[in-house]
Amino acid sequence: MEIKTRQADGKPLTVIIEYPIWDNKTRRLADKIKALDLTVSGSSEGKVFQVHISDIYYAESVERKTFLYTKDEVYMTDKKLYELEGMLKEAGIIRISKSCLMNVDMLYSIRQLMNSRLEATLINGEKLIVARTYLKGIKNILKGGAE
Amino acid sequence: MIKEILKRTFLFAGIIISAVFFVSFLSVGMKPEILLVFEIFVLSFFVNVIQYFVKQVICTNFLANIMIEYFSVSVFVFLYGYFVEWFYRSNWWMAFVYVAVVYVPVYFLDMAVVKRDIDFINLQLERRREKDDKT
Repeated sequence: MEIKTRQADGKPLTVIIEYPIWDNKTRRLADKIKALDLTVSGSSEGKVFQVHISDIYYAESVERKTFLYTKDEVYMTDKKLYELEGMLKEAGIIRISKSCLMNVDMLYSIRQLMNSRLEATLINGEKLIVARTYLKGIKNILKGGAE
Repeated sequence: MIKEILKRTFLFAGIIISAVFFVSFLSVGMKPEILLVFEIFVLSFFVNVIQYFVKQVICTNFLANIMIEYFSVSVFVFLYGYFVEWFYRSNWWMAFVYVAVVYVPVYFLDMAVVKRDIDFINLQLERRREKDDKT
């Protein structure tokens, strides 16, 4: 796959995908780009913000409340975790445990701890627990990206 | 690929066994060996149900998960085995041994599979970082 970029002053950001055939890989790519433009509304300190999906590191459900974590901010959202899961799957934000979704683009590494738990380290150094059941999901996303 | 072939092999063997013993049941009636095969199928169904529900409840700590799963399945095998008269009162502990014989290799196999998956994920992440650095 070839990637070309060019600056076009005064024009909105436009992505053109040239493809020989419309296959799964092309569809995934288009879905992923579309998903990057999506936002989720979240509130912080009484103000409502539109949080870009690509800025989300992970989302967590704590005591029936859902929080979105970006590099420096935490936002509370009205959406349930399963609703976010459905919305954000194509953007590479997938479930890693019962109460947590992780943006695979923000993943730095994964390791197995002594007690057999799996620990994901994000690019900002934060650590999250990954349930084994969801390890395949991370693998599949990275496999898709490597195709 | 090997995993998929093995999975299909066991599934196919299960279908052959159930078909052959079902035909035997129709032709010669319920003999003890035929009954045993059907009892094993019923046991397998319920063990899978237990495993499914245990995985839904606890899933982050694998060791705790597998121990709870092991004890749940063992207790079920014990009760089921007692009900269908596989075990005598004196050797009730055999249920725990049989289940352990299955679970210990499964545990180590799972560890190996998870390690392979983690290595794959870390390698892909490393490659992605290298690619990003170049562009």
